[in-house]
Amino acid sequence: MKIALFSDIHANLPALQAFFYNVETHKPDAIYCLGDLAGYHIWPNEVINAIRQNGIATIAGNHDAKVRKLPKADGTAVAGDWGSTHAVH
Amino acid sequence: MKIALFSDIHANLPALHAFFAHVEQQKPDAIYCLGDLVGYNIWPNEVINEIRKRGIPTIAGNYDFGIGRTSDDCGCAYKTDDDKANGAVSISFTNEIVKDEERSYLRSLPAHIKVEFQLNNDKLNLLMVHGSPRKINEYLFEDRDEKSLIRIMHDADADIMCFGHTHKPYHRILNDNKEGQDHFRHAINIGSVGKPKDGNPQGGYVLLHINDNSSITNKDSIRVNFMRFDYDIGKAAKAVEDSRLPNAYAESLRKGI
Repeated sequence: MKIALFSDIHANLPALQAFFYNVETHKPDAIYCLGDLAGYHIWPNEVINAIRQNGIATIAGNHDAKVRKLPKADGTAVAGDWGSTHAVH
Repeated sequence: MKIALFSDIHANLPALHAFFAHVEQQKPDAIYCLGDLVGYNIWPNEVINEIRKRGIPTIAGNYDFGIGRTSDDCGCAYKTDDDKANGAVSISFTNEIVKDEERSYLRSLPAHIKVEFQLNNDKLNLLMVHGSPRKINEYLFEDRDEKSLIRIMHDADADIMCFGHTHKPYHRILNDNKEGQDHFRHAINIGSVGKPKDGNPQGGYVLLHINDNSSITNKDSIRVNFMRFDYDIGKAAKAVEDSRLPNAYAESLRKGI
């Protein structure tokens, strides 16, 4: 049983893409993401959606939890759908 | 958060392919497999490899547990002598054709997966098992006594418990009410992808919806969809008939029993 675990992508899409490419060559039996998808870089939505699209079991990091509480870009209150909230730093 | 859960594929590759095509359209955020990948059809290795190659977190079903250990006992509750005889053919056939690497994968599958949500200064525990938290081959049918089901979930600290094994899907909401405080627990049987037994021959799985308001105090805050899909039953049944597996298993596929 080979389990791949990754975390702290921090909105770095080039790194995530390279990770997917690399991990595929190792043929893991299961894959888990341990959080902090967002924060510090410009691609939080793309990173979130790439992980969701692959149906990867994921837990929240502290940065992901922070993003949930941010207001939306139009200033309205957060609906709580963390996949669509933009990160503002 | 949309979670797809599936189980009891039982070596039925046409059903598994149709399941993947169907679940992809639902765009789940996470996907888990609750075991019994093998047994009763001719494609155990292919089913194992389709699930591994997608990196899907998977737990062992009782059949996987048996084959992983090259046992001649799958832990299934056969009632009649015919059922027992048929079952013996299935396990010996499966043991014959499962390859070493695939067997070693089954051997090292975990028993349970537990996911803990902390959505609002509270806890919501999702427990995934094959049969029950106590035994890999314990059948939790829909008519199980309510007190017994509550006790099982209480002892396992499970607010949402998803399981397979019976191949008969259902969702029961139970109130483990203590001192006037509601504590809703959800028992969700996710049915079977490759060998349904509820009279509907379509493959089945579940979509579980958790949102930021999901909690143990609101029974409607967790949503469950029972999904059914068509697949090439003829091909799966013919494969059984063309092999040394008992034809009874082909008839079961055609009727969903």
